[in-house]
Amino acid sequence: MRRVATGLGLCLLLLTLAVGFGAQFNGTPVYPDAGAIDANYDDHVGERVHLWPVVTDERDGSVVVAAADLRLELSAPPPSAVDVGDRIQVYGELRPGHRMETRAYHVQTPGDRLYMYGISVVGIALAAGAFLRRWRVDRDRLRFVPREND
Amino acid sequence: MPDLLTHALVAYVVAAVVANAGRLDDRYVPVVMVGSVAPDAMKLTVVLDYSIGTVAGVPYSAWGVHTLGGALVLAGLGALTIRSRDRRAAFAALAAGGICHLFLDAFVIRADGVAPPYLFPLSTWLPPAGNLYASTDVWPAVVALAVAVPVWVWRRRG
Repeated sequence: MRRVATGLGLCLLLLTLAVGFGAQFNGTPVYPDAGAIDANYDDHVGERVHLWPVVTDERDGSVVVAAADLRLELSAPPPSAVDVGDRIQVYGELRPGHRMETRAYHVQTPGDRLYMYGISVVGIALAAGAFLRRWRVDRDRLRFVPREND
Repeated sequence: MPDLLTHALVAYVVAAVVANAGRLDDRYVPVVMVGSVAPDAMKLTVVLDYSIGTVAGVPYSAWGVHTLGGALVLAGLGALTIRSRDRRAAFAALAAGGICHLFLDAFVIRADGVAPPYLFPLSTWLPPAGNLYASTDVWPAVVALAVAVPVWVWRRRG
């Protein structure tokens, strides 16, 4: 009973962390999110923002990206460096006309993300497998106990 | 984050070295590994697109779990699943794994050059990003494997 109460208390603490973090950083660490920018674009012109949009198109020699409903033309990377569907971690300054002056960026292709998720599943399986080699479930008391007799 | 295989392998190497020095019972080595992947449990909300939002006017961010405070609370939750005699040591092992995770994440490439506030809620400081690897890079897992496999072989022979 005490274990259940402690568990519920810790779950409540986890929720408090999520709410506290959301309140402190307004959803993202220091920058407005894509939805907030899109809702009042002109108010954010001149601000530096950090976004993770997806490449959707090429227009007038610029890459067009989308994050939620926000559409932006980036000054970099060049269209030749990306493909539609790539995700770009981009940092830069918002300009009038839904354009961004890119200061730094990093591109992730769908293949890159597939690798990350796939190898991460292997990592989870490795950690779980290593754990279950040394620990077993005590079904009567619903807890893990060491496999060796100690 | 680097991928979770890198996290698990680095945690294994660190825990194995500490165990070999006689400072950690062998059975807690995999517990450290589990702790090292736990902070990314919140990434499920990212995949499902629920990581940031507002409920009844209250803003929330699941990224608050991917912090020092989150790692400690997750370690507490994990320790509750272990028998009481081992609970304190399991908590320490899970927390160490979680802290190892956040340490590695501090070196991920950030276009703005700033890492998230990993010390939340103790501090809201935004540390400079290490900008050493991207979460999608292959080489961190290759390096981690190149170190972890010899350590594993050495422990099996020892």
